[in-house]
Amino acid sequence: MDFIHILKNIAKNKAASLILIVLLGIVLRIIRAIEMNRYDVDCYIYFNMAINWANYGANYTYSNCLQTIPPLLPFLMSLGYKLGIQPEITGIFFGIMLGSLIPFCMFYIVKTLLKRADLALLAAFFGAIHPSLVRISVRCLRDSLYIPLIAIALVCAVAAIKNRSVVKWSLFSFVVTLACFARYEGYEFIIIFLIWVFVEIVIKFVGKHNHPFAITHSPATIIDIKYYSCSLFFVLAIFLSLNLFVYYSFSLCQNRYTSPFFSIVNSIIDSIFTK
Amino acid sequence: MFLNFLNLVFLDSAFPVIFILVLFAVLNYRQIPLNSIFRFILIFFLITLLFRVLFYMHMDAKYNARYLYTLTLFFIIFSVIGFSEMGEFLQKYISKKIPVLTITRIKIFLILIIGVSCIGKALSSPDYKSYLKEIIQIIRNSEKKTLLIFDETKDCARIAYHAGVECFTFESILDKDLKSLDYALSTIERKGIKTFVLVEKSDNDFKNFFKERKTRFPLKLIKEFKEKHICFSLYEYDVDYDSKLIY
Repeated sequence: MDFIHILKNIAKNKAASLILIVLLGIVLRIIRAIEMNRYDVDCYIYFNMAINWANYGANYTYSNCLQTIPPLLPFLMSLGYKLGIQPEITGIFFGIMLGSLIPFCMFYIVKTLLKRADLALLAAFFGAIHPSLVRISVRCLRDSLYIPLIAIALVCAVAAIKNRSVVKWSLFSFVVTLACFARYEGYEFIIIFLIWVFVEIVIKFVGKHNHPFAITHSPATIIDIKYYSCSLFFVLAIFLSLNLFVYYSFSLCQNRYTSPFFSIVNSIIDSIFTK
Repeated sequence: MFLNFLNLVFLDSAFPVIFILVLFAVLNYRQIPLNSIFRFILIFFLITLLFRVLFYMHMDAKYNARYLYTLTLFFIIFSVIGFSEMGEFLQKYISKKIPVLTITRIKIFLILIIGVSCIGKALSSPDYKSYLKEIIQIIRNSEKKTLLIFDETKDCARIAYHAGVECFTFESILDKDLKSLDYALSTIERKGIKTFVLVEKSDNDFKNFFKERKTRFPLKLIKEFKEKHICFSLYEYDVDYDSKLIY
């Protein structure tokens, strides 16, 4: 039996191939973590934050360190520090663990989009070995959490679109909010979602009636309207409530996107109550 | 201006081999299903790219390739569409000349080539800014516990953190004209606090800096570190210089 036949036999068993690919991704990331030096840009700021967070709490941390840094990475590192693990090791551990989920995400997205398991396995393989993804996974940076979280958010979105499920859109909103607390660029995803809903509604209704306001009362149209409005409501509600929770929990953390908005809301509430 | 941006997209975010597959996917656009999922992924790509371009245009500091890594997910998803197209393209030209190479074999060779190049790149050049390691080792091996740095650059701060020393900027303890550097250093040294001085300049540039201000140079060079365009010079206080001073 030659080499090509062995490969063909492995590829026939999709689950085993996927597990092998994910293991390859983990091994590559661990090798990279061992051989790389640890003196990464900005990471000393996160280490200091994590140690302060574990010892004195969030408010002390944000009053003494850079206030513009999102809380997810220092928080996870502080959890590790409380258990006696170096912040650096915790950061790399979460980077590798989340980074090795990328092949799964790529597999699911491509399988749902193209409906071909062989191409999905190939996408998982690329996700496991892509040099940029391998290299970023083992660095103590916010990106090593942000990129896998975005991949998971994409999976949630694809699953929600496939099954027309409001629950999965809620899960998408939760993951996107986590991504926002890893890097503030995550807020783009809410804009992406809003644009997508707009595009879908336009395509659905304009395509059907040639006129955007000529909505008939057919059951299919009503189900569509219910689905989009419920998805919109749940995504925005979960997103805003989680942001509000973080805004009040870590009041000194300056989120350049939400802080201005919440401070306006705060001042309005204050002015109402003082009157 | 955008050449650098495109370079980052091509080399880091996509990686050349994957980018070629994406180009084949564009040629094979009929295979892409134009459904809601595709529209979501396309909007994700376009909006992310738009924000990255805007960010790139308004950013004064160095633009890191890692800001573009979310696009990598898009490139991977669409590279697989190009893969089968590329296999068929190669089959047209190669299988006629070398009949042994069937479409399956061509595809396996392609996967091997992509795999080797990606894994090679992923595991290569582990010594990211190797000079940092050297400087940190020198400071750790000495008994000195203070690091005086010229500018508050990120590299200097992280060296101080990993070497386990306290770090002060010049501005925090000295005047800007550096006239009191020799006096301040000699005082610190006589208190028993051994001090390193680290500057993100070459030795010549730093000496010229003192010459221009007509200030004496009380430092002894330990080593100059160079990598690409970055240059660091590590100094310690010149003990002989102290004996020449008259107070």
